[in-house]
Amino acid sequence: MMTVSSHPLVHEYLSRLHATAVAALPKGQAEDLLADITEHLDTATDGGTADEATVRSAIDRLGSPDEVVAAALGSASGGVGIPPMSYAGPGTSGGLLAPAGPLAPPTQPTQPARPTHRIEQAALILLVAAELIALFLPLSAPLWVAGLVCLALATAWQGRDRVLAWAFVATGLPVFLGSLVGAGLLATMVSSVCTSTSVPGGGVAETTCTQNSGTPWVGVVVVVLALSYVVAQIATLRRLTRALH
Amino acid sequence: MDSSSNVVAQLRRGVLEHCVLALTEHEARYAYDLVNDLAAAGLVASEGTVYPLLSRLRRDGLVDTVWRESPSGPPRRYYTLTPQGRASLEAFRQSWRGFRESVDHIVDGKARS
Repeated sequence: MMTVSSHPLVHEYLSRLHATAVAALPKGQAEDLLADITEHLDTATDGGTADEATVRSAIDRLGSPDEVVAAALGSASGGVGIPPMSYAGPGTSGGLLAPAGPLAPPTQPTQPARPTHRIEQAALILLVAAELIALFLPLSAPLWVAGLVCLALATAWQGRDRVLAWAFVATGLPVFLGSLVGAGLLATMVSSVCTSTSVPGGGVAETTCTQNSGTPWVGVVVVVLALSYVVAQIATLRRLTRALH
Repeated sequence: MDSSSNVVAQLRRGVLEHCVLALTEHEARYAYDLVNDLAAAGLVASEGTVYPLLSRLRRDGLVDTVWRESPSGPPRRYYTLTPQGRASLEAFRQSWRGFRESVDHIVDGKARS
């Protein structure tokens, strides 16, 4: 994933952090923390190429591994933060807290908490499933529509991710069906085209059968396009899944 | 640690989470830049302690992460505010205004006049 800084000071710090984190934290949390700190040091030291003073200062500012891991332990149960405050308390006397009066406006979102990426996962699963069973339209079409709705509601992918999702995942079913139809058309075109010319005098003068010389090229192009599409789709799926972690 | 720096540490601890939320309010932020902003504002003593906080905010559904291309190297994780995080920030903002005015009022001695 990321380039691990080769600077000895960085290496030493990360080893100590690794030892402390692995001993104290759940596996996933320890891994996340190490990845985050590694990336931080990597960025702060330009991939370990910065001078000694810069590296030393970056490490000093991070705090000791003990401190960092202690912060992770402290926040494990939601402990670092404070619960949402509400100062509607003794505000009635003397108006000391008057500005806090109209607290608790209906700012709560109507939708419940969404701690996991259910909608995003559903979008990917539905769209891929629809594509895999594309030929069975009574099932694949509803799945596809449901997938599109989930994708439209998904919030985890933004910018480029979102564009890629619509370009390569949402289009799966229609592209698959479209290429089937296209392949069928091509097949009929490839078969030789015979034309009969009748002579006014009577009878068939000649029957010419021509092989459409352009068709093979069209076929090659279509196959290349289809393969590129599949590759792009797989790459997009990997990218989108990774973005959810 | 003397008592005044202890007070500052506690004050920081109380507001840090919502300051992180506020920094992600208008645009997706790269974690390293978030940490630098917080450090520059004097809100964190040890920069490394911000990362566990970011992880927890993500687990609690207050922030989300997206991957973006970086000018060099692998894609980077950017932090964005979720609707839930936005609501939490807004509630804090309301509370904070009242709290700040009350404390100013008392600490500056205006309450007695």
